[in-house]
Amino acid sequence: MAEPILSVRNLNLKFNLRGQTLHALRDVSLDVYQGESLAIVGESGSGKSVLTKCFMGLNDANGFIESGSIIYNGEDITKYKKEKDWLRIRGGEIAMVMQDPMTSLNPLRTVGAQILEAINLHQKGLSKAQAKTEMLSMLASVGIPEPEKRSKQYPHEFSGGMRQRVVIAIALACKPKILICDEPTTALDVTIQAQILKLIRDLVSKHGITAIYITHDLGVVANVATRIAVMYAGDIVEIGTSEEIFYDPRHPYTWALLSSLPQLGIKGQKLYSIAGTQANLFTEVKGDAFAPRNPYALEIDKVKRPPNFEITPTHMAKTWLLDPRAPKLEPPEIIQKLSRREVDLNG
Amino acid sequence: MAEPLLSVKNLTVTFGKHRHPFVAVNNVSFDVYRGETFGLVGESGSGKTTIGRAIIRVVPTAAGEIIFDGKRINNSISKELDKEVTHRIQMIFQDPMASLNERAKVDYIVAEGVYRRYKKQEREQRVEQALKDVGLLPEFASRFPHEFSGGQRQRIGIARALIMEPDFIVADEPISALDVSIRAQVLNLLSDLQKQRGLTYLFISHDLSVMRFICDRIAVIHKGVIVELAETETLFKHPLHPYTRALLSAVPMPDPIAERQKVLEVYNPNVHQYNESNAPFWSEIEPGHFIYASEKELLEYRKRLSVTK
Repeated sequence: MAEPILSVRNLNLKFNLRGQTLHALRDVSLDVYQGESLAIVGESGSGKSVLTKCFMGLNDANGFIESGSIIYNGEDITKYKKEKDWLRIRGGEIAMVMQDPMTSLNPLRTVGAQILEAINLHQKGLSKAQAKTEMLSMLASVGIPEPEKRSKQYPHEFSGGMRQRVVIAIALACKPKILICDEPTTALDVTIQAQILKLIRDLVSKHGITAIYITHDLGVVANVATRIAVMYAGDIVEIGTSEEIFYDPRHPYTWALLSSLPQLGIKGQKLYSIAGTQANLFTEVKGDAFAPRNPYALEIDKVKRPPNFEITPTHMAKTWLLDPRAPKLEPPEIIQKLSRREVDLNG
Repeated sequence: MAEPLLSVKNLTVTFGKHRHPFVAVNNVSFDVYRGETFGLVGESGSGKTTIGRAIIRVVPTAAGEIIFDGKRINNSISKELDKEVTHRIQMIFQDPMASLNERAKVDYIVAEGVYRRYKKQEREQRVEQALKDVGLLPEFASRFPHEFSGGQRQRIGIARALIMEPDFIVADEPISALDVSIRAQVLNLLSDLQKQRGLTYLFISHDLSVMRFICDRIAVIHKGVIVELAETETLFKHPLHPYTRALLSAVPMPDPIAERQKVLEVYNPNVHQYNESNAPFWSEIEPGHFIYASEKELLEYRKRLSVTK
């Protein structure tokens, strides 16, 4: 693959909360390559948003990076202390589309003015008229009809899907190199969701932007991602190309996430659900964090944290099941069905 | 399955009393049989929630009838019947973060509906039982809603509905606000409860993939009009109305190769070209499969059905 545009090494992030420390990211390493679409998948509380917020210095003040590095453009951005440093990164280098289009726009300013703000900040040297033309073409490119008229309207005059398009237009007006989409469609209808995902996918490939999607729904990412990282309890437990994750998943947590998709459920039977609750990150996790909820857990899972096992050069998983000494295990029936590509809505 | 528990007949709901009332639900009819799960699917603003709210008597109806267990329950009814309906029809809401009283403890939230029905001791027993039924610990009764996760809060919402001992539950997007793994738990809980108690559900959602898993029959609603109604299997195998097809094509599948080849169908209401001589109407195209279409379209749909069969 190409050069990594961003690389995270052994990142440990903690939050101070009511006298306790929450270990939110536990030794995360990740390379993001130029031009790819990476999806980070996990339950709420798995640390997927926290990880991407590190790239932009957006974590709350009670969070601190204990160790590790994030290299972007040859610089370690974990060393940034001042807002001024971050301002060089935010928007122009890395931009973000937030989950809820209802709250991420300013209700008091017109949509056009909000896009212009981003253009004026990040595309220096445009005249007023040029900036306006740019703004209108931005609106048109995200599929908003009658940009001239719509740019003079306020966010409340737009529907949810249209507002998310505006947010995308603002993010793209910054001309970023990396676009982070944090649950961009969770608040939207299924039909609109499909349209927005297609829009992001098209725009990202047109402008050659590297995209990072964050979602809890594995079903959504099959459409957009070239590579998928599965996060659990502050760590990436499996990473691979999207074919590898869907057709040949190796980590029991990935199996569990895939099996609980209602698309794969059979009517009248129980839908697979993950037992127990997520690991408590206030206390030190012993062994594999997923072990207490894992029906396939081995003895060693309770004692020693599994290292990264390489399956192919692009596919890695952290589970002792991949150790040569581990018992051979067939993945659940539903996962095998998925790898044989026997899943479809009509069946 | 022969006897409908709830019949909605030519229901129309409008908002705004002025010269231009907004028609949210337009001449909708369907039956929900005892013991089944009936799904109502549509995009936001299609009127699916309004139908649910009309059934629990929160929204007044402009025309048509809602008949529950043989009695008309919309608009003005006697006090006794109102009380009966309040007990027998319950609702589960979408957002567990917003639908629980933040300042009340769980025991009050769950018991509120039966506060005057039972004495203190029995009430406490019933709350305990309701919490157990939804898989929560009885100790939780003395806690506040903010101490719970989204999935647990949704269970509290379900316990609050169950304690009334209802026959019929309107579940309005009960899992849309939840994580994928918790979705599975809540869906399983709903279907277990249905088996144990013979409940009837009206399940409202925008997500057909969830519908396929839980519903026996599905009605597709668009802009206040039901455009297609069929058994789940039939609807997924032979979707006829272009809007249903668009909804189906939007369901994300966990299969990257298929997803990349997928063509997204976008519904354009202008394709029908309805006019006076080509007006749409509600008809049964095959047993149990209803569709809103014009005479010309019916012919075309019939042809398509005979080819696929």
